[in-house]
Amino acid sequence: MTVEASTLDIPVAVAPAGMRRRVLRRILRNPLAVTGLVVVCVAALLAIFAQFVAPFPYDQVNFNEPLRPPSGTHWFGTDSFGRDQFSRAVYGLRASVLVGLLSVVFSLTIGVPFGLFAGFYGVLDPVVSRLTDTLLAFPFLVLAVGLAAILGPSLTTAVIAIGVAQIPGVVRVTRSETLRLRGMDFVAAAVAGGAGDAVLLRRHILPNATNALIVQATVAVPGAIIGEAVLSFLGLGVRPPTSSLGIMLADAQTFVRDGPWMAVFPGLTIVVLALALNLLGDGLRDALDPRESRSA
Amino acid sequence: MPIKPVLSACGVALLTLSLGLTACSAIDSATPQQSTTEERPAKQGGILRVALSAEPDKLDPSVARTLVGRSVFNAICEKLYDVDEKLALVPQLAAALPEFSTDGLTITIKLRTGVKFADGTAMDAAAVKTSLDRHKTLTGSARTSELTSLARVEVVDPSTVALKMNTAFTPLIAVLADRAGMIMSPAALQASGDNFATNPVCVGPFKFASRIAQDRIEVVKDPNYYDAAKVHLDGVTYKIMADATTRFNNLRSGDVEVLDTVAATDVDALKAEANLKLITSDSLGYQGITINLGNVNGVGKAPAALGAPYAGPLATDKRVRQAFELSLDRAAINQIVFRGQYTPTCGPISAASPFSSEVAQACPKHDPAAAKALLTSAGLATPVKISMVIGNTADARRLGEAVQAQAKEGGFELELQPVEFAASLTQTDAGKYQMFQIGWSGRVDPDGNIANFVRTNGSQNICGYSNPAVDTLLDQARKSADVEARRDLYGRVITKLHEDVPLIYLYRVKNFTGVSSKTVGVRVYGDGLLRFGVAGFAAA
Amino acid sequence: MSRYVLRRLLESAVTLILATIVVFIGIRALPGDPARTLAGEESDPATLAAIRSSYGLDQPLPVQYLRYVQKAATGDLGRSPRTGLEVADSIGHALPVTLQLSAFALLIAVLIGIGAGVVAAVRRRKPAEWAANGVALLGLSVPNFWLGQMLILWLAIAYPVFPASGFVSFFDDPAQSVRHLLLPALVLGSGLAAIVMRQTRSAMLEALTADYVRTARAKGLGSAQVVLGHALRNSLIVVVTIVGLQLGALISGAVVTEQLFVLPGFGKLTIDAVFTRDYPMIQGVVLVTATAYILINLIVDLLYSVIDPRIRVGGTAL
Repeated sequence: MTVEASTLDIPVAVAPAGMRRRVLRRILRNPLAVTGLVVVCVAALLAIFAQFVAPFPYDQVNFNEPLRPPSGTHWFGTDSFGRDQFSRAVYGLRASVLVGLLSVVFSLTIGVPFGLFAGFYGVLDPVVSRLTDTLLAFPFLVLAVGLAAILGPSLTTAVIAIGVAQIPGVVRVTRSETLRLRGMDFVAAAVAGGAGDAVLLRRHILPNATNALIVQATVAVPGAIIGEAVLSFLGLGVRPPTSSLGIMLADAQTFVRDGPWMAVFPGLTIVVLALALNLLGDGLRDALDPRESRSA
Repeated sequence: MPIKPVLSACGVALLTLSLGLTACSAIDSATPQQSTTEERPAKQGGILRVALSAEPDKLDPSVARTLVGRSVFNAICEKLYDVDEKLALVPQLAAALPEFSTDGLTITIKLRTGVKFADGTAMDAAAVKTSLDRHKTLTGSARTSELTSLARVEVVDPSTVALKMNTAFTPLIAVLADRAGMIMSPAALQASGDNFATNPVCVGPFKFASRIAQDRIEVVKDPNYYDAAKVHLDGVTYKIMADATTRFNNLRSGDVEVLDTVAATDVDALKAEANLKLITSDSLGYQGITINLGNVNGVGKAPAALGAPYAGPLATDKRVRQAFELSLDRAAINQIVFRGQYTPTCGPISAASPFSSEVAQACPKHDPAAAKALLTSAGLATPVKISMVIGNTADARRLGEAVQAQAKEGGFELELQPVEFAASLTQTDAGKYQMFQIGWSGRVDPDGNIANFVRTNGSQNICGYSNPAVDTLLDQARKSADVEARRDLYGRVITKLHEDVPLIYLYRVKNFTGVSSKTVGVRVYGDGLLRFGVAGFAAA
Repeated sequence: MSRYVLRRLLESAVTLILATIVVFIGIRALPGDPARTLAGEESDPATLAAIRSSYGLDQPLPVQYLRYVQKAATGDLGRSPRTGLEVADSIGHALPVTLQLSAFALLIAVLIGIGAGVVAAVRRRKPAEWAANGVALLGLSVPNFWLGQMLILWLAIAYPVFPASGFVSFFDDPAQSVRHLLLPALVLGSGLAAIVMRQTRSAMLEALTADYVRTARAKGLGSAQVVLGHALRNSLIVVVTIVGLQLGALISGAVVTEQLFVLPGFGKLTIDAVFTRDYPMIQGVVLVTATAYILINLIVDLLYSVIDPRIRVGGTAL
């Protein structure tokens, strides 16, 4: 779940509005990023319209057809309850995407203010740094099991556990961006113009830190989707009979010999989705980072 | 490989041989029951490697609680009594079965003479008194509650003890055939104090050698053992392998010779292997669903009316509980979740027990239509919403999902609440649940499988169930030493339980032991424990 | 310099104390009574009270904490109520397993990561770069336990080349140890390899355009010499940093890997301790993890500040 975002250093001296269009154009010129974007969009549509796409209800059991290999009716085969694995994967995609997005939103909501304040007010910096260090020094899974014990395993628990684990990364990126931007001329100019702290943070620093955060978020989502799988694998994920890609893999574990397809397809789905998100993230990073294009 | 809470004590249940007769006899076990590996001649020597499914807790008979630990104790700590392959009690360190005084308040036990502990000191009446006193009074002892009926132990002569009872309690002898009957060396107790677990000294074919947490326990042949001449092996190494697939792979590859719990999903694969053998035995315990009827103030407290969100017709109307039981197809559950490897059951007493009867094995037939009709007659609109706390392992989830699917047919909308094991115990003890999927590892005497769970304010009565008629029957059964009379009493208890449905018994785990054909004389009796006293490697 | 070192040491101490307090209070706030879990099937109020008092769980929290700190300071981490074994001993047995696994994973990650990173940076816009990038992306996108499942399915069940589980210490039998640890180390190292590859690539790219490399080229040094002698050496600093920072994640990842391959390691010890509410064990485990994490970061920070004095101004590195 750790991302190399801590080393991101993206100089942004351009006004955000003009930048957007250029970034978009650069992404569209990158075939890999476009592939990623298309796959992500398809996945999002599948997740949203799962009930129309899935040929069977995700929880419809059929005890007469347990552990059937992939066929024309059941594209991904069936599990030990005779449930259609393709339908479960489509619904599972929904849960996984939801966990991925919500956990990133969660970590941004908490991490960004802390990072801003830590970077802007030197007094707060040591406090915030110690807190993030403490969080990082704590084994992630101890945290996750603890949360699951308090809240009970569920989608919300997974979101919070993964979100909390991502907070230090967000804080660090926001903090270093704030530190960098605070020293820049346009901020100094705003200060000279009599802008208050709130205005500085909201109008000048936060918008300019957005690009770094977008990149951070794009790489965090696939991390979170894999995180959901790990938590479900440990029995800390969504509640049955809800389907998630992680819980499908956990179910597959017992049937490695008799139903290998139960592990293969959900796993491949995660790989494809995460791959697409990472491609998109790379495209974004390249598009936002003039250094990359210069050396190209 | 999902994480399984190491505490198999409440998770899996193992004990007993079934006679192959079950009430829900529609499903016959495909696996022939067999208690030992064949008795070819064994050669002398060799270290037997055994895969255990979980890590045993402290190796101190007074405080030990896990089931898997009992298997290790079986090699190093003998008991006053033992069970034989027919589940009958037989003397082990005692010289004969006990003598009861007519009022049942004095039990006289004669001891085997000339027996020595692994440290060379003598096992005598004084040692028995020291051990039983310790079991009863040691702070943190897990045996205290089993020995409540015992007032004191008197040494009559070096080879005789008299147990003075508070009340007549015939199930005590079965208790003395378990950890409460293990006799420890007083000299070793003196020397190691609270740390007896790090170097336990008892009487046994083997003695404790070493232990590495999470990895292995090693025991070696004890030359001081009274039957040392019959012991073939130089020692036994217990390796801890939490994952079923791994255990099985290790058995197949010959890295271990014995595997204590073959997963139901691996049974067919094991049978297909030419050089492996399967030993099966029915458990004495059960897995089932406990329903909260009136547990508001915590386990052991007087029942009261449930509050939100746990209150509902399930707790107040027994027709709803009967309907829920009718909607469950035990045979199908066994088939879907466990591939038909376990034994569906409807009551707390194993069919193999001398206390079992036709009444004890009676079973409500699966009938979703009748279930719906019952709900209608109770004036309820379907689907009736109910919830069930389940474990967070993959197996627990599959069982929960199977029950959920069947309950739907019977007019219920069942919400599954997976809760991590440690938290689920605290939560359900406190009465914060509607239903709870949990099992019991089982005891030789039926009292241990029933009384604590359904007797008013019983120590494990998390249902908050109270029925004076049931209490009276259970008390009568405790005082009687007559098997016939007790069988009848327990039958009547079970009939009442089927009427009130505080618990729904689902299935009995079967204990599958995988053994390499290189070994001979490995024995697994009704209590599900591995016995290596006469085991060895086959002579070429 | 010495003031900076002193400050970092002080900060580390604060983080460590915070971590122990958080875990101490945190595990006690969890639902699930350790006494009830210990009692297992034979639980009644008297037994529970006896268990609580024998482990000091009935004392007020600050008293429990001070007692723990007092003992921990002398190296006594207590005994596990569940197994009755010394926490320090259990950790002592489990840690080498995880360390050997992590070291092996790290080796794989660094070999693959740096190799692919250098190739990708030097052979820009060539198939080699695409391949290296592809591998890195895959490494980032594959859930490591699924990779483990697939490897077991393929190389331990279908074609039993490697054992599906078990641990042999490298110091007992190197050949067997490698055979047992190769698959788990591959699973654990895959994600890290991807991260190392990307860092190496971008650091190399930057270094290759830097003035000193241009100077080296201008001086007529061969391209292999430039790449290996100058650019790579400088890029290594960044890689070392990343590896240092990722070590914590590596240990977390070891939990799942150890679960999958049933290695009696630190991760398994951790999860079992949390699931059974084994307080002394959880505290010991977190203490060790936090200490390791903090030490590694401290070393990396100090190294970094030696290499690049500007870091000291900004506070913590990275």
